[in-house]
Amino acid sequence: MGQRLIFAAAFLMMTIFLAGAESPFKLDFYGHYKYSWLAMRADSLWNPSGIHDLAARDSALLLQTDGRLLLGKLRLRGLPLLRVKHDGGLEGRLREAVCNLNLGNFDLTAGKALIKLGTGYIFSPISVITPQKQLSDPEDSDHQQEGVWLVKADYYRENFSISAMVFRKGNWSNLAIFAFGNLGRLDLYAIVYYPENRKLEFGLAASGTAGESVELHGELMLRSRSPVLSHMAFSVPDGEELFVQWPLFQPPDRFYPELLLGTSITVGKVNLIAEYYHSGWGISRRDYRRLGKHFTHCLELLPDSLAGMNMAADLEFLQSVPQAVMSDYFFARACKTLPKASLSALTFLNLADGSFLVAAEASFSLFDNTALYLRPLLFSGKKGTQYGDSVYRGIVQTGFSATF
Amino acid sequence: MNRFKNYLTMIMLLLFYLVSDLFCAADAAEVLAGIDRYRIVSGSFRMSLRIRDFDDTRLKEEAFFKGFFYGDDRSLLICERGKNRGMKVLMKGDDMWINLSGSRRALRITPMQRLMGEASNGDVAKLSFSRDYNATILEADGDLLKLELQAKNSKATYQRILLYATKGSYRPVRAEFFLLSGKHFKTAYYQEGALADGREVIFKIRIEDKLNARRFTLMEFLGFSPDKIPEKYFNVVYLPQIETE
Repeated sequence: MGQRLIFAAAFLMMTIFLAGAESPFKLDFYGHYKYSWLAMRADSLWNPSGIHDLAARDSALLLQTDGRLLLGKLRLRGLPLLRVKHDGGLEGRLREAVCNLNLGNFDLTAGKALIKLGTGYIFSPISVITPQKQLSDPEDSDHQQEGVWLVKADYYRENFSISAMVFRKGNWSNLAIFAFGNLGRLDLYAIVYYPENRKLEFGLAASGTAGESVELHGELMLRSRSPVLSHMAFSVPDGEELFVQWPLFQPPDRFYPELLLGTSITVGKVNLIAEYYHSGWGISRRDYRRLGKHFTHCLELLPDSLAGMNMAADLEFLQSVPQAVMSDYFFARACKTLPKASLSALTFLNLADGSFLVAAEASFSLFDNTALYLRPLLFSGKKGTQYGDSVYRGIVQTGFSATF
Repeated sequence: MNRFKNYLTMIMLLLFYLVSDLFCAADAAEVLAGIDRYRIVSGSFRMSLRIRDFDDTRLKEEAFFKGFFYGDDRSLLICERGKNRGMKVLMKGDDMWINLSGSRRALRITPMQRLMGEASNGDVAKLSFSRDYNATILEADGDLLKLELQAKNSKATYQRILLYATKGSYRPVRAEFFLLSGKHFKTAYYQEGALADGREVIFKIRIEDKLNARRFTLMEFLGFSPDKIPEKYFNVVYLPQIETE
């Protein structure tokens, strides 16, 4: 415990020291302390006693540096993250580590990089390289997202660019070609993705503006595999089929669509964002209930098996982090920025079963680069619905962040 | 015969009216081009920008931007200080995008979205009136010319502007901005000029909120240096990769 704290303090001091140095090496430091209260839902379908051991309170300190070194045409960038848990435990992660060679209109990149594609604010079906962000934290303020290892070549002109990349997701056999074109009022994006399962996927996206204050965007991705969890169970109880591949139903062989339609509207100082998302692979309400019963049954049969643990992990992922696992969702967010504060509220509605979550954030700027925030998050819905059955009834987070 | 003469007279009068209107429009365009010369520096250049937001005399917010400009229709602003440090705003013609600090993607926005205080993105990034507006000279008000500007298309920052400039030199003095609803919601005062590219260019603009007279924002263009800006700086996909130092 003591050694860990010394290590964290040394990390902090080194960062501050280097940030002030006059050199081609530039460093930003980001610190973030958060405290969470988690209100568990005692009657949750997904929370049979003994399976989950989640604390009702949690706290964490995140320390991140963003280091850049510019050597002529070569640029190096690293984003290591250190998380100090409430029990003093340390978790280190390398979010990005990129080497970039700038050759005029050409760029060559190698390393671990966060690559975001597309037009959507919360959903982005064509952004297949970096995993989807947490829906309750669209700004990724918890720095959960991590890059993928890749080699990428880009060619840029002012209104056109094309990128080819090979990247690792399980193995290095994932290929993608991404093109962008600006045609006057329209931005067009296209992607061809050749994943390791060797089934081609295609995507298109467009965005544009209309009038004084309306932005419109849309994406269509034709996918050929499951975008969600997949755990295989190895144990088979007597006479009971406990397979399984989540979410219980086999993915279709043919393409299935992921569709996004969205808009961003500015009225005075308020910005509104609304998005509709449809997944051809999303499960129906009826299947969702079947899945719940099946899981509960399996967990009762084999609470300590590998299969049971796999499912518990899936369930925790499914219920503690709101994910788009069903077919149709609607998202809306309103945000107002004031000189010393910003206020936002968002809702995420499952159109298939009527359950929803509501999240808000009030952030107060103390100085230019420090902020205090409060974030309540509530889940609501009838029994047997996605958010009605969530492990948590609600979460309240408060924290302090600083950037230097 | 008389009837023919009457027709001819009417046609001549109509032609005279149309031609005189054309000349007036040409005059107005000339005045507007003259006004633009106080806001635009030709070629590609870098410029720093300071924006301060006040409530009465109290400073509420301050931010510094590094700006890359190419002619009158392309600009890139990077916030260097302030709570939005690292934010980038790209403007090309009528189109605008934003890349927030820490984000790996740029999103399309509209010129009406606020950059800071009373300053919209378009106030900062769009320097030319001629590109976006058709002008009509309404009247001479003492030493000032009064022009009415109507947006050429729906993507201009404002749909209607009343613009006042000095007679003779066409130096802009103030602009009153109107929403589609016709509401006068803010006024810009073109305060101080400085020499750049061998002529006077407006470097300080005060923007007042008409709905709350105590609130105003000062925009100051602090430095100017001609520079070659890489073409890819104006590519939306490249935006997150531009080094902000």
